[in-house]
Amino acid sequence: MNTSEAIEYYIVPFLGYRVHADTISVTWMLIAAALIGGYLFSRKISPVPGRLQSAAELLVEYYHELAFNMAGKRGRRYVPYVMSIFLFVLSCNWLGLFPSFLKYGHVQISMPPTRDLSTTLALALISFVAFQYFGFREKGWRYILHYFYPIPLLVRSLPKFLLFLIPPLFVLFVFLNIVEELARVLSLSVRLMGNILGEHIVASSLLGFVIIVMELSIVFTPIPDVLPIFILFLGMLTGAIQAFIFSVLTLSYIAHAVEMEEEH
Amino acid sequence: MREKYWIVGILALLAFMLMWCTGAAQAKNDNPPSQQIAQHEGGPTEGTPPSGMTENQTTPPAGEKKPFDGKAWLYIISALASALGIGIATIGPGIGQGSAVARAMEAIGRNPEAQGKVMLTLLIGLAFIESLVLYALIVSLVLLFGDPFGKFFH
Repeated sequence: MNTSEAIEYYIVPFLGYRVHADTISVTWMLIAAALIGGYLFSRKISPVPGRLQSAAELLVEYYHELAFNMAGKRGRRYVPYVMSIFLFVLSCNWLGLFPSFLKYGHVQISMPPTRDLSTTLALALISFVAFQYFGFREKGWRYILHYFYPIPLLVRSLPKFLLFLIPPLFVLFVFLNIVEELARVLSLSVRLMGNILGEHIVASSLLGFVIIVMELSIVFTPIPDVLPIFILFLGMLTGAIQAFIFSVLTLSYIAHAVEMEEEH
Repeated sequence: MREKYWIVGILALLAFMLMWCTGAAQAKNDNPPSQQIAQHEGGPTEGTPPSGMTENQTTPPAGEKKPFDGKAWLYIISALASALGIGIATIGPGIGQGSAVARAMEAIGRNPEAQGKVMLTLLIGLAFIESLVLYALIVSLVLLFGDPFGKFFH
């Protein structure tokens, strides 16, 4: 019962498409909140950090260290994109834990916008574009040769005649590498969506069970008061881990696309 | 890079126009012109449970006896397939994740100061393994609730 409601969307016709209005309204409000909050926060940055600024600096420093471990000195320029993804996905996932004034079956819990394949697929496609963009920016047009090699060959270090000799031998690897790129997009999007959707189904089923127990009122137990705490804990943990995984995998694939020989 | 924002604006405008053209063509195929107003609204409403029907399904008229034909067998076997699918799919990744955690704990025990890196690599590996289960879960959910083969029987 809760499963079939977890995969329904509030459909609105827009420009001829049937658009999921609940997902889009929540994500656009999140974007607006992030922009306004970021702007207001950035005006109050001081050399002696307060508490919020210290916490934010912890997170940013952690990501800078990760980027340095993966991509070397140039890792710093990928951190803004990766952290934006992390914060966006984190807030999307955690939004599914708030109560809602709409009733989905028995249960009044909000729907996280990342349960929609549209959101996660959009993020994965933007990351796909980011891989190609960063690859081309670091290596020039030679990034195309990435697709011709069976191993991630470090294209800048080969002598020029060898660079053009090897691709005709490995022409079939183009298909393999293209399939690998598409599999990355698919796995990124489906991993996030499946985790959040599954967690949301479990959470709403458990909460529905709580409501049924309360409505029966045969036995007075403290279970209805205590169970939502565990549901909240599980939801927050899964949401945070999946957001972190998405961002770290994006960073890892970007580092894979731009690696050069002299870094190692 | 503040002066480059107009590029983004032009790209957004182009994307919008592209959506308009393709979306209008799609809408004409979906609805003949007589039914274009009052599109079906699914999803949540205040106080009433939402109906679980999408635009493609039709209800059989009430009171008519439903024949036990190929359509019934389709749904029976779909339910069986979706349950079996997700059940079997959790075996392998379960063993894999247990093995991964065991090796990670061994590594932490051998070298406690590498705990941060080991846990990070463990988490990433667990997410990769978990996603294999999720592919099967998506297929199972689509079989149960997405009605992929119903259009052959209507």
